Amino acid sequence: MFSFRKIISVFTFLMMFSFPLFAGTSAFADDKPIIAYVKVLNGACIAINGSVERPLKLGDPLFKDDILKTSEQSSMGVSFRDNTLISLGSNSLLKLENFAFDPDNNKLAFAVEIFQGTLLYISGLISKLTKNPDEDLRITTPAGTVTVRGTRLFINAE
Amino acid sequence: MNTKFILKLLVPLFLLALAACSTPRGNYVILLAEEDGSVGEVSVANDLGSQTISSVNTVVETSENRAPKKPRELSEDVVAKLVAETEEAQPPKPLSFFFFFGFDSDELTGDSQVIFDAVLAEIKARTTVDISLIGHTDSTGSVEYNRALGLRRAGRLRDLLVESGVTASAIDIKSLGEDDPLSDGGADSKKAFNRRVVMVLR
Repeated sequence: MFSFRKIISVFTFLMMFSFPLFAGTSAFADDKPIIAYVKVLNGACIAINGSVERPLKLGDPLFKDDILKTSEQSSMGVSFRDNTLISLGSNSLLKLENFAFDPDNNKLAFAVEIFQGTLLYISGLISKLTKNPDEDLRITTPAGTVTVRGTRLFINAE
Repeated sequence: MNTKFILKLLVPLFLLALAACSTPRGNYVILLAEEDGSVGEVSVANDLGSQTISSVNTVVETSENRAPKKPRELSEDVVAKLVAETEEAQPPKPLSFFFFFGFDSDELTGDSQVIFDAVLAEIKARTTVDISLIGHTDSTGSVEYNRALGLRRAGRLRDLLVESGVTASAIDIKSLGEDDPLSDGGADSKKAFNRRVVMVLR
C-alpha cells in the first residue's frame, strides 16, 4: 500500500532527476537540496554534476550526484548535514551517490563511491542512528564495497 | 638441531615484522581510532569474499579480481605517513550548543541570550559556516502543537542569526517536538531543560 506521503516523495524524487541541469551553479543552489559543504580547500578542486563543472571554493554547497575531483597537490575537506566528515587527498575522484538525513521519517542514507585517490572518513549521526548499517551506509571502491559501523577509516583506491 | 629450531622460530617472526613494516599498495582500507580513542568495525566485500576488521591500524588490501586479503596490522608510523595529506584537509569538528526557551515561548531565556552572543563570535571567527537547528519542547500540550512550537523556536533562533549577518541558506531547521527529552519520561519531561534548540555548528 502506498501512502500519500510516499507518492509525494517518489514524485519529488523523479522531479529531481527530470530537472534539466543546464543553467550552471545557480540551478543547483535553487533546485537541489544541499547535502554538504566544502570546509577545507587546497589547490584546484572541482565538482562535476552531469555536464556541469564547478570550480570549488571554500564554503561552497555540494549536492547529490556531484563528482568531486582534486588535482595534483590539491586536497579538500567536506562536512555533511549529519556531521559526517570526509577529506580527499590529491588526484582523487569521489562521487556523492546518495545522502538522506531525516531521522524523523527514518530516512537515513550515506553512499559515496571512490574511483581513485585517498579518502579519510569520520562517521556522523547517520552511522549512530541507523538500524541497517549495511544498507544505509556504503563506501564503494574499485576493489569492493566497504561497510562501516561507526568509525574513522582511510581508503586508498587505484 | 638448535640452529634449526631457532631458524624455524626466527623466520616467521622476521616475516611478521616485515609485514608490519611494509606499506600497503593498491586498493586498501585502514581502520583508524576516533578522536576519543574508540575503534569501530569495517567490512570489505566483493564477489570473491569479504574481511572484517575491528582493531586499530589494521589494513585490508584487495588486488584486482581477487578476494580481500587477510587483514594485517600496520605500524603507527606507516599509517601516519599514509593518512597525513587527508588528515590535514580534515574539516573542523562540528560543535554543539544548547539554547533554552521560556514555557510555551519562542523567546530565548536571559542566559541563552548571553550564550548566543558568545556563539555568534565563534561563528564569525570561522571561514565557512553551516548550521543545523533542532527545536525541542517539554511534554505539556499535544504532540502536534509541540512539533510546531519546536519549529517556531528553531525558526526564531534562525531569524536572530540572519539578523546578525549569517546567510539564511546556510541554516537548516528541524523540530523533534517533545520526542527527544533530555531525560527519559516521567515528571522530568515537563522540565525547563527540554524547552531548547540544539545548534550544531559545522
